[in-house]
Amino acid sequence: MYETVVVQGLVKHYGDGGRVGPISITVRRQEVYGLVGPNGSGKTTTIRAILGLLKPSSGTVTVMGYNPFKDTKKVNLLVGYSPEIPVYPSFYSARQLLTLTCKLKGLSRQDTMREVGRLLDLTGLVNHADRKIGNFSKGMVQRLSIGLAMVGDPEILVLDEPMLGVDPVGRVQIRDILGDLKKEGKTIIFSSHELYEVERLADTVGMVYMGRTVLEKPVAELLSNRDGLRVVAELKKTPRPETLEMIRALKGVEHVSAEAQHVTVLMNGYDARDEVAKILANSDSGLVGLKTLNPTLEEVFIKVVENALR
Amino acid sequence: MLSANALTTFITYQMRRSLARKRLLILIASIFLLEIVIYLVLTRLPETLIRPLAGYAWVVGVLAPSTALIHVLALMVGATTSAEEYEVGTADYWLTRPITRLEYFVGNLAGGLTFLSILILLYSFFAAAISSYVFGPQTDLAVLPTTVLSTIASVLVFYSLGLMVGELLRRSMLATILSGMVFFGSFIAETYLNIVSTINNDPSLLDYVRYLPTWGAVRLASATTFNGLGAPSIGSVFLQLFTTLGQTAETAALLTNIAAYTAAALIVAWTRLRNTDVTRRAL
Repeated sequence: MYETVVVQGLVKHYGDGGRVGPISITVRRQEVYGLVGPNGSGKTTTIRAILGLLKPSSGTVTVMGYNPFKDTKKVNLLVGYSPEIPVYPSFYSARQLLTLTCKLKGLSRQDTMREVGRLLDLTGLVNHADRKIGNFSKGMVQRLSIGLAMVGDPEILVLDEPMLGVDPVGRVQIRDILGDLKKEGKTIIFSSHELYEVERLADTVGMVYMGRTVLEKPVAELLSNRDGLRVVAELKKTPRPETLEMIRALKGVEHVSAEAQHVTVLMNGYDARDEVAKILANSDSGLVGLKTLNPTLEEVFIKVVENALR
Repeated sequence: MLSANALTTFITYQMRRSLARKRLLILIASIFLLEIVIYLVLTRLPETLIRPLAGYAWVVGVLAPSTALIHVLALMVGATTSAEEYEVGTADYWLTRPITRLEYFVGNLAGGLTFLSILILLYSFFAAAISSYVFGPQTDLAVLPTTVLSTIASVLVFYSLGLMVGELLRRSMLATILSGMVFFGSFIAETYLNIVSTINNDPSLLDYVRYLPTWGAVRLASATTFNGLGAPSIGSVFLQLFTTLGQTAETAALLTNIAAYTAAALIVAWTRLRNTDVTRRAL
């Protein structure tokens, strides 16, 4: 898998004194890359630099070897983009705008007709194809935006907050579209501050916080990390406080909480599951079962942010 | 190299966008209303006065908007052409398609200019048609294409200034106000200098007038029209009636003034677009 998008030490100084960076990310071919971070952390700055809409103050950005700010046309032939808040000329219909976009992509008339039909179908806008975009709901505009990004089957898709402001039904539809694209092997870069979506879709995650990259790792590796291991034990009876104290005293145990017949143990840096199981089995509470829960991306993110702040 | 595909797309887009704007539509309607009012007033004038000029009635209708209205419209179109794209957020859509920034710039420029050209063509033929209908056969109508072309050339000054201010500020309302201030400021300065020059009998003041942006823009259409008309005496009557001049000027000098302002404004606008970030939509 070769590198398609490489951002190295991207720093952007804004006129109002704001500064973002250094941000470094590497996106490989056929990879779904989730760029996460809170609002104002630098996700959109990174995306706009990838698209050539923004000139970095320092650092480099390359898309398939091209400089997006200089080779805008070449980069935009390779990249399909859906913005954070999609805005399109309200007087066009979905069909007209898709047709126009196909024309700009250099598709022939026959290919344009086929492509417009395919994208209307894929985005579920067939029944609204000839309605003015100005009359569309937010979810419909968002789906159209993804459709427009996909015109001409670009090598890379860049989606800035594709779920933003979309109702639950719309979210499911967008998630399905992205899931299908992932299966097709598309290279997708998407930003989100909703970590649940990233956890579900991304192969690799890049975390940005306070304008800089704090972590970049495959999602699977992050979630299987033994740091932040969480164990939930099911018992026959509510455990005694002494039992809980014994667990708390174990090496690596960070937090213990009990609720009725359930005990949750959070470990960090050391896997103490065997010791926890022994204590509970030997206690008079009666161990029914022990379940290991992987940390969520949200927990990982919070931990990374805490470390970054120290 | 500029792609014809991109240019035609932008021209049609800008035409549609202009027609979707209420502010512009009101101004366009007022141009046509002005034409109707002018001809209504002319029919009320004493017949002895209007009869010798009846064959040239078309000149009044064709030149009247180029005194001020068409320039105000041009600066509004210019100021909104690029600025509104940033404000609304559609600039992001266009500049993430496979087009160069130059194609985007030239396309938008051509789109707004095509819109203005069609409008000038329409009201000119409207004026010619009304004057033929009301005052009978018109004289020297062969000059009309020259008048139309010179009016199109004359709107370039404030169209480009509007575009430049719009590109610099990226706020359409502010750009319209500022470029409007330039227009009216220049117009007032020109009138003032003309009056002072006449009162003091000091023609040297008029040399300064030649450097004002309204000098070429407001005069070109009337100058080329009256140069083309067969009867200079009638021409001068119209000139004094419907322009603020009191002096004629060489077409070459007027064109130089127009070209200088247009080129300077376009260079500044292009430099700004080429070298800076695409401003994000105001949230």
